[in-house]
Amino acid sequence: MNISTSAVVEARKRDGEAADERPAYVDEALQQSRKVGYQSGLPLVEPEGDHETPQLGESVNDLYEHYVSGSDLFRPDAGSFLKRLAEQPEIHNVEAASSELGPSTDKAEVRKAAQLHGLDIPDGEGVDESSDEDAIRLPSGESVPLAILEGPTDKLVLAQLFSDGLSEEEIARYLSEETDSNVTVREVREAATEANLLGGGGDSLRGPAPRPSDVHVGSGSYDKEPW
Amino acid sequence: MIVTNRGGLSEGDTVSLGSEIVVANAEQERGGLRLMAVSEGSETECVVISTTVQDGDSLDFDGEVLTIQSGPGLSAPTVWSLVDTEVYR
Repeated sequence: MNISTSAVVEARKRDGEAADERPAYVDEALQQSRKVGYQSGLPLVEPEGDHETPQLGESVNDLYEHYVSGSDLFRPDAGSFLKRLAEQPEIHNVEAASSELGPSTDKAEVRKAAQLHGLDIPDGEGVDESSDEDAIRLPSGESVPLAILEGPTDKLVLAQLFSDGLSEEEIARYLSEETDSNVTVREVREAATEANLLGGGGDSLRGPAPRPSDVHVGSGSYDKEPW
Repeated sequence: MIVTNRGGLSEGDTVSLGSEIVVANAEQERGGLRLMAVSEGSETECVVISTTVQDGDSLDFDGEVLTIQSGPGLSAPTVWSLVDTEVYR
């Protein structure tokens, strides 16, 4: 983690707004990423042509319109699509392929279609999740184990996300995505206010800046640098 | 000539028939599709496929249409066809 005093003070002055300047990895982390699962994240088989990458929380449904699924996979012209799907590193078995193709495609159809089109999709089960369910992955790529946090809106996580320049709306969307739950802006604001991470605009801070002893992680405390 | 009478078929299954179909029909049964055909010529492996169609649709594939069935209720009808497995190679 990289939480500095100045970054937290700046975040308090912004009072929940996004920073004008922030690391490039933040904007990348706020975009939808590739995921196994129909209409979940970006499609593994990309659509033809140029398209904007949706932000977290935005619909990805239109990006799946070119998908072939169900019994349509048995058509001779479905071979090229299925081949492109099978070549994706995330598609290591029929269950992953079935999951990516959606509820109208069961594993038996994937097996049969792969055989027809002469493709090798191993007959295993299990879908690799890119996200670690036991940790929150920060925009920088670092993971924080959930076991040492008090929940999705733990003050340590919020301090890091505000320091990175995210707005409270962006934090709510980011944490909802990371924890597969519905983290609201209100929850973020309340937790951040309680942790003195939000305090009003300009110099009219409502309370004292958080001290290292205010930011606890489990039984320990975070003391990156003196206040 | 070769007589084929196979039941329990579903889409994507393969069946062997002669290369020239003299007459063929398909019926949907409880256990799947039943294909009845008389064919001749060298034995050819074919894939059973189906397509739901609407009035005015054009069918564009390299295969042999077996039958068209009305859909249940107000559902669209289904065209059942056979496609030579060589087309998939």
